[in-house]
Amino acid sequence: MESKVFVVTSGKGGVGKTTATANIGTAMAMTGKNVLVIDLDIGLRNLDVVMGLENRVVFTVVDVIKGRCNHKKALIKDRRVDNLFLIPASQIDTKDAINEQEIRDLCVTLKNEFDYIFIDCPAGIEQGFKNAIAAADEAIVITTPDVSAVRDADRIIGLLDSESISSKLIINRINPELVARGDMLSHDDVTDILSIKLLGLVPLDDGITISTNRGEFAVTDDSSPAGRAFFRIGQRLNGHQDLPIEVPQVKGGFMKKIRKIISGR
Amino acid sequence: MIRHLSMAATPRQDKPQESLLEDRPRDGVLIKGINDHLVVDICETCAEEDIPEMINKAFSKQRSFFKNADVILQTGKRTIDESSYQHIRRMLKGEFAVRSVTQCSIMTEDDGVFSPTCYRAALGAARPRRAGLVPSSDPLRAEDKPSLVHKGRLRSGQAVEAEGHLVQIGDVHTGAMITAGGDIFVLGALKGSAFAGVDAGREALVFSLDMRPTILRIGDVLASGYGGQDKKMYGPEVAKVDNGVIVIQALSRAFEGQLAEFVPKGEGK
Repeated sequence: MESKVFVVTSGKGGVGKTTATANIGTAMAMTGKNVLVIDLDIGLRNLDVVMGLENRVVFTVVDVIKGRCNHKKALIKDRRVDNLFLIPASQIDTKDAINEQEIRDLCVTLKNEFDYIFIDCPAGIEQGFKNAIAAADEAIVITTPDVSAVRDADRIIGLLDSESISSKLIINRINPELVARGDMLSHDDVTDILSIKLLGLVPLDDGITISTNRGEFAVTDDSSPAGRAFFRIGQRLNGHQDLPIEVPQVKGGFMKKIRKIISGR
Repeated sequence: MIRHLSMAATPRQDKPQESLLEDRPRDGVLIKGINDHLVVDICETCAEEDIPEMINKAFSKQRSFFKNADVILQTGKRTIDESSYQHIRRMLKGEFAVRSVTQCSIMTEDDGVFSPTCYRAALGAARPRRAGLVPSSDPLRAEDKPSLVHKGRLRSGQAVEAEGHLVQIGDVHTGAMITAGGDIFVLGALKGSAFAGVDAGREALVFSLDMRPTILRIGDVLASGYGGQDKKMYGPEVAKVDNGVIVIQALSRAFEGQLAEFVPKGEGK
């Protein structure tokens, strides 16, 4: 099977790129694929923390690119999930420490060893973004149902288009109650505005905050709605394109309806 | 992704000025095209009170042809008095929608001998940007500049610029920008910003199948857009400058009488 490089990007910061990278990567590793996640948010590295691998970082992606070490040395193997590896970002360099061609060369080497490579892209559209998309075969664009995040996603999709990288959309942190009240853009509104293919919908979930702070994966937790959503996204990327997309529903909506029917409105 | 068309320089063929004096009309009026201007040559011998009627008759034959024209009244070896000149001017502007009217008489020249300076002055007055009849490197009008047809959705941050008219096939998202020297036709939804009439000024128009721009600018007139999030479809609409403000009308309204019945009659806003 041809291995693939995905870039996880959003334009706006704080919409869940890093969390999504960690969880989708984990989800695909859980299905037996060889998965590598690379943190390219150089200078502001987070992916290692979110994955709970912070204390194992010795060499970084900049060390590999600058030839200070072999890429095998920089690979951190996750002990909880088989076949999941991380190459962390450097915290002491800046985005300008590496360039697009170096990333392309690195990915050519890494593609021989992994089925899927996920690149965690920094926020913004500067050098860091250019580096992150340089080697990408496909892009996963993350947005929240906020007007500003959607606007930035639109810009990002445009930039990806001009690089001929096809993109798929994940809408993160959907609050079904706000959507039901009409106070939040629905997923239909967002896909209307952006008009790209939808990859998945992730509901707002306090469990994500807890698991990322602890360095755990939400996908491995069956009781987390966001974790389940990320797992399904992983399966969709893994060849099950037709897996239906579940729309986050208001909690207890079903019971409320039953009660309404019983009480005869 | 900025597309910029370089201006195709097409030198205009200017007629030698001297030919203006040949075949002066013995009666009635004669309309000639000189450069971008229409010179209305008025016979020297006919009575002054008949002149408005003669002009009216000549112009009535081809009404639409004179729209937006720059007209020079060539009165030959006499001047017509101010009140009848103003009367003619009002008539031409009001009834035939010409852009400008200027008077030019040979009497303003020494010895009654024609020299092109008269025209030059008239042309200069009519449109200050033009130097006159001498071939020059004048900026071309929007309709003479290359038009651009751009296919593809324009996303936030993308811009397309046309020197002449612009036909944009595909939606223009919020945050995208389209600019044209002349008119803009968006075959899709216009949600971003549009600037029509960089050269053509307030004469330009903006057309869209779904008009909800963020900012709309036509010539020097700016309007903050409708930007509504509502799902209501208003259908094809046209934005134009009317009395110094930008108005948006249903296509059928904006081009009333110029479109066949099959165009859905939407409500003008």
